[in-house]
Amino acid sequence: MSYFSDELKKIIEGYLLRYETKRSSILPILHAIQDEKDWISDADVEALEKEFELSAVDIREVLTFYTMYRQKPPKPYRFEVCKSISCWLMGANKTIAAVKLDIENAEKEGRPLPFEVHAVECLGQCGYAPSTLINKDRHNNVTPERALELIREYSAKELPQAAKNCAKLK
Amino acid sequence: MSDTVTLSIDGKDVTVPKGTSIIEATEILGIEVPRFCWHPGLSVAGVCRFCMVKIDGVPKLQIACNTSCAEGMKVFTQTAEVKEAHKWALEFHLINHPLDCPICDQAGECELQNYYMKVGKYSSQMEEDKILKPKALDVGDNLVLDTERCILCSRCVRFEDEVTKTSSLGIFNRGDHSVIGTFPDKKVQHNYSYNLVDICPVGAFTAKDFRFKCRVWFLKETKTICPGCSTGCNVTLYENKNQRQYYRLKPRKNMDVNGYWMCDYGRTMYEHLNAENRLASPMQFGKTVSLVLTPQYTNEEYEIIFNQLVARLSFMPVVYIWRDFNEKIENFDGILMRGDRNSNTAGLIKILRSRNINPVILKGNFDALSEQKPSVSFVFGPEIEKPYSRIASEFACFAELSRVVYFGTSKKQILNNFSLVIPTKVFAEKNGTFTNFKGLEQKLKANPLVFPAMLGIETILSQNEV
Amino acid sequence: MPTIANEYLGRKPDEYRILLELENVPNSRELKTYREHGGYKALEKVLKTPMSPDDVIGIVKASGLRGRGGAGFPTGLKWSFVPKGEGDKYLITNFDEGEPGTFKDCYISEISPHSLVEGKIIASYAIGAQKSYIYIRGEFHNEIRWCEKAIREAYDAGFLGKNILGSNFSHDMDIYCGAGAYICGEETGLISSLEGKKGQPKLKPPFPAVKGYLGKPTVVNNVESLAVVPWIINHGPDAYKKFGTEKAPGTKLFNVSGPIAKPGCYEVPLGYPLMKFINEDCGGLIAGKKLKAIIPGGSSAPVLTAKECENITLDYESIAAAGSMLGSGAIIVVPEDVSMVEVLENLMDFYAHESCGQCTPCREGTGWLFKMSKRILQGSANRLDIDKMYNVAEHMRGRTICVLSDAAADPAKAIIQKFAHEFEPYLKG
Repeated sequence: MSYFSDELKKIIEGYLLRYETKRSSILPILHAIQDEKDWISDADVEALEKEFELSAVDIREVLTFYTMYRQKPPKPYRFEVCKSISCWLMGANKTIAAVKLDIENAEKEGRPLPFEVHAVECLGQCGYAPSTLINKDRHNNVTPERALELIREYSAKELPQAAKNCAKLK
Repeated sequence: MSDTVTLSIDGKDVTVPKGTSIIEATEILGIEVPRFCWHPGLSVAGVCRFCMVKIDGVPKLQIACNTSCAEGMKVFTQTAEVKEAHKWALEFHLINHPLDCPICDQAGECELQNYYMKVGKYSSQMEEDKILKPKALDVGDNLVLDTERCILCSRCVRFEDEVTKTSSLGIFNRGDHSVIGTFPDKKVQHNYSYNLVDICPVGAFTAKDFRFKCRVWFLKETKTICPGCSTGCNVTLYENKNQRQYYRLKPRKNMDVNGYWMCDYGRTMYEHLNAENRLASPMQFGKTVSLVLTPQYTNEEYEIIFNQLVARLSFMPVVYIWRDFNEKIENFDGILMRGDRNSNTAGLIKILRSRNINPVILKGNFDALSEQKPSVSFVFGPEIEKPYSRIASEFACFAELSRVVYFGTSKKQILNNFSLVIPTKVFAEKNGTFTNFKGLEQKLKANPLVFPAMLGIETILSQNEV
Repeated sequence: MPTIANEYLGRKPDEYRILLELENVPNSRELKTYREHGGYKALEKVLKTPMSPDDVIGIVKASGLRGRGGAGFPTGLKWSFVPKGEGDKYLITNFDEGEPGTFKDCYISEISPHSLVEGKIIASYAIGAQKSYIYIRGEFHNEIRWCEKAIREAYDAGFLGKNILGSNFSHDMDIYCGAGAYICGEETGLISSLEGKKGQPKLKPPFPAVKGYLGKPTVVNNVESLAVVPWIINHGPDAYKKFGTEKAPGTKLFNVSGPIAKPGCYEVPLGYPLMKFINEDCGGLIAGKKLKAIIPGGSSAPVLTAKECENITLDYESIAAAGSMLGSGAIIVVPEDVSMVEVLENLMDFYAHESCGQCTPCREGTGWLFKMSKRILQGSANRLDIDKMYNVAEHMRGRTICVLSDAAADPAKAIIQKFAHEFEPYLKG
């Protein structure tokens, strides 16, 4: 029995064959694990070493180097706001502050939002600043007002499958 | 096409094989270009950016470790620009270093300290808060890791990847939060781990058996040969001469024998040398015709033993070679350590052959010896007892013989059962020769004795009436 | 999926359209549309004429095309460094667009991903690569899908795979997603990442053209450099040279960001006057703001004061002469009401976060610069600290494996030098 779900195991095996070396599959495999579980645990890494003979140290180096990989269980939605120069010039700090405050207030009022906020580096959408990502969805020109709207919109939706899987495994 | 190139470094000409790096060429000339990440036994990482040199005609300074020598190249290691670059490179290394030298075991042999004195001597400009990182991590049976002291030269990672091929260390995170480490809850587990302490230019890796024991400036060095196995690694033995106390061994470069490394087992070869474990005075209990030898004495000692015994007895006693029943002489770990854990098997065999002696091998089975019923047995026991996995029961076999004169170095209760016990010197206290597994003869150098009155086999056998 | 508001659509004279030919065309990402507008004709020309790989390299060399990623190295020359003959070779597209201010490659993939795919197949033929990759930022979820779709369509239409268009040339293309690291935009950092490692740049020599991905000869080209190749093949080098300047022929995509009336991605012939571009094409600054400074080539380019910008034209030489660089063509507009000390802190934060940590001067220096800039903002630095910061930046330059260290140091030096007066109010003592 594999540590991973049948579906994930198939994806991993596909990646192992897809590139010239097995090691090249480390980044895509970590993306795939995260797509399913929302984050990557030490147990996941050890299982990759045991089942697929990838080096746990190599994987951990990659896991801790790249900022997209999450090493702790996250909230269902990650509101990532670009804080690099162009977005900063266009008021990204205000957007970040507004989202932060909204999350904190909701927490205080006992109705926690399924959100966490991250100020991130350049998202490559500098002409449409401030640029943001909510999980994999891109939203540009996100003023503080627009940000709060987005929080309402997403909060009203059914949680993403990865967030449900993440909660189940916790 | 010529296979060599000639270049000048600081005005001195040197001819080197093609492909030689500038830093290797400076080594030949005895010029020291400061470096942290470069190590002659490892691949080139080129990350510390310390070994900057000026090459005539090249606008930017270049690193000496990744630049190949070229015909007619003019290299300068001491220009004002180069010196300034060295100073800044050192400062960058030190801004987040904790400067906890007073409690660091590396102090006195730390490259950060040494280079500060050689190329630094500036006033620190760092006024910001330093980055805090994990400290005093238990990362192996022999190792403690302080990631704040680490300068991320990656020597240890390359050693794990290239020499032992165990790859148990990695550099995690990025930027100035990068840290060396093992996978959580995993350890460095192999027989070469102390080399990580040696190659670490700072006090990030420290040795559990040396931590907080002794300041390195109290230690005197003796160049000698490791008695731990038949490879005969070239080593330096460190002794606090005032205390007559041995603390550690470190490898000494010999490309024909051990390269730059030695094994962890060999590192323990100082433990039995110190007073608390040593026989200090003769113990007399009771005369002889069997001779039991172990393959751990020097060639010179074997010659004396045979010459003196034959001179006194006027015949050659029956010669036994006592070895461990369980040893796998042909074993080899592929790096340094050999299955024959005796330092001088090859020397003993050569001497026995030259004297046409056919010894009886005692290997687990001592029947041949007890059947001979010797009236007196001379037993030259092993200095290093670790390879003798049944030593206790084998001592008991000797104790059943009528009169045993035992020569040895380490204290133990069972010696009370012998007629006469004569203490002898350890490898660190002897001048002499070991012949290694491939027949290479290497010299030992004597240190002052832990017990100044201690006699060598040569003196004991010539003074005492047998 | 929300779409990007292309407020600048239709604003450019038609004769400038090379890369953005399909900008106003509906469904321009689809193969069908691309082919209706002459798509894959260049590939047919190369494989059916047939042209030799050297012919292709010759044309690209003759066009004077220079790498559009930032360094401006001649593309044809880069291809010619790859050893001839049998053996594995790779072409990798650098779609790790992460230089703050830059979003042109995203725009190419949004308008015309097939121009990239076609350009890649032609470039691969020229250098003899059997396999190519698009290395794309993991954050570009839309662009990943667009590129994947274009590759799939190209396979289905027989432009990829075995014996393309009945020729002896076979080629496979794949996409590889990064995971959040600016340094992977450095070509050898990108190669390390594609090998499944941390994106740490590799020591040079050896150079990628000789030893790159998995130790095999490898060419890494920017999206824009490759996407323009089909046009050059179709129209010839002379047609391309009609645009731009003698030393910098052709058009280039420029990205304008900051408080500007019409921010966005523009195709402009090289040599175009900077202030005409800002004030006329991009509509000037918003809300009557006054221009203080421009960062002309992505955040790594030293800042230019409004005065320095006056007579600059948009090409490599003119901007270099002013002491900065054209870089990726990202023009970041800084208005009068923004403090340059805050700009400095923002930029230093970025580089400290993105240093890979390999070389000591960069690993330690970027963090040090960031901490010092923070301390200035907090009002606890004095005049000597500013000098020290300049000195630290100066000694991080030219000392490391890649240029990230310089990319942090140069903007710091420029801001300290050119806006010294703005630091005054923050200083104590």
